[in-house]
Amino acid sequence: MNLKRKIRKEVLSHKCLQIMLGCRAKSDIWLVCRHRERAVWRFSMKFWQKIFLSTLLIFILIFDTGVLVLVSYSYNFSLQREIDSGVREQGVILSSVYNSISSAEKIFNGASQNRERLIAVIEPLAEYYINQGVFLAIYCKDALIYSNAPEIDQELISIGENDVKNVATRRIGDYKYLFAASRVQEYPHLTFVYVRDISQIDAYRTNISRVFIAVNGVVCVVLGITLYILLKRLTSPINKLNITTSEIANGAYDKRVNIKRKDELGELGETFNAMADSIEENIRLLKKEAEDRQQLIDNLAHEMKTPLTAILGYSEYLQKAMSNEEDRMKAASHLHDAADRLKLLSGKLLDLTYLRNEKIECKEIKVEALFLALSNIMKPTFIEKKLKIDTIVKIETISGDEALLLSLLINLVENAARASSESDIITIRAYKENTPIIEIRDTGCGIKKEEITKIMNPFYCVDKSRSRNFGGVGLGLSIVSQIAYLHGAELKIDSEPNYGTNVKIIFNNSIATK
Amino acid sequence: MAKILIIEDEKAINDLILMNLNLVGYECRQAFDGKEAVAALKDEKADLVLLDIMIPYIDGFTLLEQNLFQGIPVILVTARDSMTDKVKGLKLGADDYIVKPFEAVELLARVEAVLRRVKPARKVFSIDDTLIYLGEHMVTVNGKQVELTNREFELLEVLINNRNLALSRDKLLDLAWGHDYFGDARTVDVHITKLRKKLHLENHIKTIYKFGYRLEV
Repeated sequence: MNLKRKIRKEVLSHKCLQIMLGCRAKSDIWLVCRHRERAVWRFSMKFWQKIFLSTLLIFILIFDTGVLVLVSYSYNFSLQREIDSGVREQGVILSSVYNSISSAEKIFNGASQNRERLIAVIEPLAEYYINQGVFLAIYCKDALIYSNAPEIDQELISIGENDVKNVATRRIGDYKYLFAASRVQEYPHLTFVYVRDISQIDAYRTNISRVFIAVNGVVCVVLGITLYILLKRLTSPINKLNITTSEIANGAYDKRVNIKRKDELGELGETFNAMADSIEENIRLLKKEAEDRQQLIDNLAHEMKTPLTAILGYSEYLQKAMSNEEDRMKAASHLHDAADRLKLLSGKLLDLTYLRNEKIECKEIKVEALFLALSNIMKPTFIEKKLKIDTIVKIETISGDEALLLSLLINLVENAARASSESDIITIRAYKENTPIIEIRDTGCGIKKEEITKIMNPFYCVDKSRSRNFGGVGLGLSIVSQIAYLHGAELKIDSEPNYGTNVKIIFNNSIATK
Repeated sequence: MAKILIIEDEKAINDLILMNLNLVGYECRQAFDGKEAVAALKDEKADLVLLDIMIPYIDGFTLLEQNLFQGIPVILVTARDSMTDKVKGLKLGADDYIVKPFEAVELLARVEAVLRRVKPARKVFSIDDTLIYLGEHMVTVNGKQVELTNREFELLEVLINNRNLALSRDKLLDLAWGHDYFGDARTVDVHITKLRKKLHLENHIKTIYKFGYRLEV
């Protein structure tokens, strides 16, 4: 029950706040019950709203306190002045009362004790002063002789031996009175009371308060409007940043904020844009990498499908078909070829993965020996295709990993051999032109310009059927470029259809230079 | 028998399709690229074309777009299995689609289906003295009609459509009884025995040891 009541109370206070701040939606306010005994509420307020509210509250507090202190001081001051003037006036009237009593005493001894005499003395004075808002009263030994004043406290007229005057203010009905009482000189049994209407001081205070409330209201409204406009303007960049951030978070990486300011928010905007730039760039790179990888996988799947189809198909054929010896031999040979191609593919793929994760150790390699090894390995291919190989060595050594460089050269020479026709010459040169260069030139079919950019892609073959016939899988140049990259070398391919291709490996990185 | 042109640049796959189609008795020709395909079609008309999409010179889609085949039904045979490619191929006028790798039974079934659609007139199939009227669901041995149950006839039809190709008992159950039939492989044996007896096909329906049956003709 207790909890319920608490929540209800808080909901109510939220509603008040909501109305006060003009919150748009209920969602701005919500209740979270965390514990069974305690309802914890969170109130979501915008930054500008917080500043707005706190500034307004602080201003009203200080302004009102100041004004109230001022009003109260001025009231007290006026009151004191009124009292002082009242007391002075009482003295004046008292002396005229004393004079009248003295003269009456001279004429009629014991007049100060006589009730009628005293009334005769005081009444004209009282009637005279009543027009000025002053009332008079006289007591003889605490017994009232005459009074036209409002009710007078007994306490007031009991004046001690040493006291000269008793002064008090008292509110009676709608009026406020000043009371001043004192004994009459030489006639201490008589007490003279002076009462003055000082209601105008209260009226003055009420008026001041009314004006103050009005001024307060006007000032608050003006301040509120000014503050609202000012804060809205000052915090608009935050809003912009907020919107752009959520847009970027939702994937619109090209969004930027436009804050033309020279303050911290302007700086924040610039930093934010720089951050967005780098995020966009990174995302682009990630996307590209993912696309490349997807492309590689797609290509790989496609490359594997043909030999797999052959293997599955021919094995099924051998198992199920009623076939003659010739057909069976044909199937077996196709089976073997397909398996061979898968083997080659997996080998090259392994090379490629191995190369991706590897850092090479560079040694000085004798170029002559490297070329000799290359010719030996390539000899069967050259004999089969009746090709000639021509090596020109003008540099002694080159820095790099021997096995990898050999693999690079083999891949390039294989490509050259594939492109060449019978009795063509393949030229391999090693020379220096600022940096060491190895060049492989063939006079084969060449590559079209638009194809050159694509040939580095894994599994790309310029002429699929032709390259298949010589056992290519389309990974050669990927491997070559990877090895070149590891050596810090640049790969440059120039080609002219029907005239041949020229591949240069330019070792421009210091690790390979000698 | 129907004449089929196989357009496929991979020799291994081209040969594989050829050898499988030869089993059933189709007459096949081979083309290894777009240009050869155009030449082969000029030479002699074909009843059906099996077409790979990625072939040199002129690719399969282009051949379809150029309306080279002029009414000859086309089955695409390709490694691409993306939906857009299938839809594109079919929209361009291909009749069916086979994705590599494929099974011989599937290839034969699709070829058979497309040819049946184009040439609805069904032939009579004969093995020795047995005549099988596939359209009429009727079988005669030495001119005398033999009563076959529906299931027996369906089994016979499957065997004929995949003649010279061994079919496992499971495959036969699948093809003749349907996917949802939970029969024992023995059911196949019983029906095969009945077929052999009724139609005198003891020498033609061969048992393939530990595998299944093959109709040899």
